[in-house]
Amino acid sequence: MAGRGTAHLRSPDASLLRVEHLVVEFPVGRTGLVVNAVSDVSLDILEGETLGIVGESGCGKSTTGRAVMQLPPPKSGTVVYDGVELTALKGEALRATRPRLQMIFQDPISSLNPRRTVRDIVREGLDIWGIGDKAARDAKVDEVLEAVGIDPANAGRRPHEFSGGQCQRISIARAVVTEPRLIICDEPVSALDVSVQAQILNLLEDMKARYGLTLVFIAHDLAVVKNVSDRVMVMYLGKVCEVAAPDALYASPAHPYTAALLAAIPVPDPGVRPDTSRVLGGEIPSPMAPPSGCRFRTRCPRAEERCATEEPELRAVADGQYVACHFPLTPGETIDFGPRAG
Amino acid sequence: MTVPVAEPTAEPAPGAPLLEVTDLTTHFETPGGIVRAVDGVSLTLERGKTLGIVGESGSGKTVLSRSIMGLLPKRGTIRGGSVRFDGVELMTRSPKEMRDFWGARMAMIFQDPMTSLNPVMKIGKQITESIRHHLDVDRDYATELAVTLLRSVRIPEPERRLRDYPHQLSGGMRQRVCIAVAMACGPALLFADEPTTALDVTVQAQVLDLMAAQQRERFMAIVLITHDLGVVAGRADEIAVMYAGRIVEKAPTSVLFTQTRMPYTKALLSSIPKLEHPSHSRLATIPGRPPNLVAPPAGCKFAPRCAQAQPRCLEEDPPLVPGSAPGHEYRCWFPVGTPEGDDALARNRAAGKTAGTTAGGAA
Ligand SMILES: Nc1ncnc2c1ncn2[C@@H]1O[C@H](COP(=O)(O)OP(=O)(O)OP(=O)(O)O)[C@@H](O)[C@H]1O
Ligand SMILES: Nc1ncnc2c1ncn2[C@@H]1O[C@H](COP(=O)(O)OP(=O)(O)OP(=O)(O)O)[C@@H](O)[C@H]1O
Ligand code: SF4
Ligand code: SF4
Ligand SMILES: [Mg+2]
Ligand SMILES: [Mg+2]
Repeated sequence: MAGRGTAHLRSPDASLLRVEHLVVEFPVGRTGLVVNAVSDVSLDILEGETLGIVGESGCGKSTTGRAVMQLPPPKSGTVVYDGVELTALKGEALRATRPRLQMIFQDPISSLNPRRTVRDIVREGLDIWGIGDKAARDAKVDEVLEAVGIDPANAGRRPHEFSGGQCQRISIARAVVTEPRLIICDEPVSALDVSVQAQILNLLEDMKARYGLTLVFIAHDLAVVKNVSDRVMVMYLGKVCEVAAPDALYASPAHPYTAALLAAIPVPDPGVRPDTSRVLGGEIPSPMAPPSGCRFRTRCPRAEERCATEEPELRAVADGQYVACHFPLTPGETIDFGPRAG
Repeated sequence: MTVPVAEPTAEPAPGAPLLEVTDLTTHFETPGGIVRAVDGVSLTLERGKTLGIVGESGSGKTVLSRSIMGLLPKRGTIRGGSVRFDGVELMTRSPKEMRDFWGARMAMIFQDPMTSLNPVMKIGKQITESIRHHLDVDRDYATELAVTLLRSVRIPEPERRLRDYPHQLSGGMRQRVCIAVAMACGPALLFADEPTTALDVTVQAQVLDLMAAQQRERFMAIVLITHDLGVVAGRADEIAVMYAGRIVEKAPTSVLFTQTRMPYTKALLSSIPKLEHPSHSRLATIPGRPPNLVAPPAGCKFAPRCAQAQPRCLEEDPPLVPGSAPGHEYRCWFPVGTPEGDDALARNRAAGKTAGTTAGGAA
């Protein structure tokens, strides 16, 4: 099946989160078929690090993030957070991890309860977990609202009275209020205007410094991911293609799919005309019947017989750069995806 | 089989642009007051060219394109100004008269392909209906044409796909079908309103390449609406930046990027994360939010958020003035990259505030 393996993982003692061989499947009605949403994905995050996860729609980014939260628990694999195996936890024990492990979603407005005031929304975690007394909770809510740039004087209002960017600030306040160590951000800026997106990205960096956060940052915009991440993981059809530090990944992608993603980014520079020869063709195969061997092989110009029979394993190609490909690109090499439309 | 190309309805004046919009206004009556969604926009577009329109959410991009096409509800909409298409004034036409233009002469594709495709009709029927509505052909011919169109937008197995419903296709395929539908009668002008915003980068590249190929083949003009400056940078001949229902800067693409004059354009450009910047680079931001379109500020609409704002900006609305390069226009009293602009910025930095913020505008 593009790639599995754990060569990219670091020492378990050093990592705040370590996920190994994660598998998530969704049954399709009564057909007996399953959607192979996440198929043997491993990742780890060091304390204070930001891991970016990129890949196209349906590749399993959100499912990976949600499986870490046990929403729902994975079919198989392990998720060790802060030394605790989450997949083994049930009921109350699992719930008790929530304040330390938070998630922020793409659509800021619909992820906030429209009937509650902003103060109640942000305070909810403290109330549920019984953190602090009433005065301490109010003070904490004011502090985090202030920190995300929402005037606490307006906290009596409801979400619809705020703009999309302000709602995302409120979501961030809600996530940091219980002082989690890890926050999984699922496309937190994808629905926002560029000017607001810049504000939220800067805010996340500030929050990270201020509260000593570790972040998983899921997005499909590679420039955004590069901006915030210390390490980037590229996914395709439920598999990991490549893991590397952003500057290395962007300078010399080793996986053909990473190269295709980078080549497709529209550059805000009129001197750079889109290069149609480097744009990936074809369609993503069905996750119900993923290709054998390397899952990217049906669209990969480098595919050979071996790619159909043998699933590539993640391996180091440079210091800190790991790729799951039988025939990776060497630094400086480009890839031609053949003639394109027109 | 060849795909039809539109015939001009009236003999166009020699050298006349395909589209000529003059001082177009489009206001909406709402319980909260009159929303000035489009407030005096003028633009021209030649055949075969692409005009990019960029701006933040709510700046009036969609209303502008729908107003040009006459695709707005009559009730509560107040339109003024002139829209000439191929030498014909469209503002005075009834929706019934406009129907002959839609599809045949000008077509539109939207951000969400599901809203422009009928979810309960097979895609083959959707394409052939459009063809048969505008071209006097029989069903077999229309079907054959539909297959050709689907093949031209690179839908694999087009004969089989004709029998699919929209939900059976991926997002990228659906958008390609929308392009096929839009191309069915060979329009001279295509409005593409955020055609790729909902799509992944590689699919976006496929769809944009496809539009460009169709454009070359048919010498079609395109209005490409997007909030992504990256998308228009590589694709548009000219770019118009909209703010609060107006064009605040318009220029040939390379001029807009290299000789930016309007502070809003500059702020938009610098707030985008760039691939060539190292990770964790601090991004420039634009403080505050776009103005309320019911009661916009008196002077420059951008003043409450502008780093260069001076007292004059709060009182006098800057008109569109020409830049040094041909085709360049902007609205600003203290333009970026000029001594006046640099002075204004230096003054505000020294004072630690702008005329806009002291007026209590910025959030
Ligand atoms: N609850 C579910 N039931 C069935 N299939 C699901 C469910 N959630 C996700 N999937 C499928 O699992 C696969 C992975 O989906 P996922 O949402 O994780 O992708 P993603 O990478 O987050 O995509 P996007 O960029 O669109 O958010 C997709 O094929 C999706 O259709
Ligand atoms: N039918 C209507 N009645 C009242 N106001 C309207 C109507 N249609 C649009 N508006 C308002 O007109 C303004 C311009 O909207 P428009 O949809 O053109 O923005 P846009 O630039 O296309 O934004 P986006 O990037 O979000 O699509 C907005 O303030 C919007 O709320
Ligand atoms: S070369 Fe083979 S293994 Fe590598 S991405 Fe292509 S198909 Fe997969
Ligand atoms: S300098 Fe003045 S006129 Fe120019 S954009 Fe800023 S506020 Fe408007
Ligand atoms: Mg997702
Ligand atoms: Mg719009």
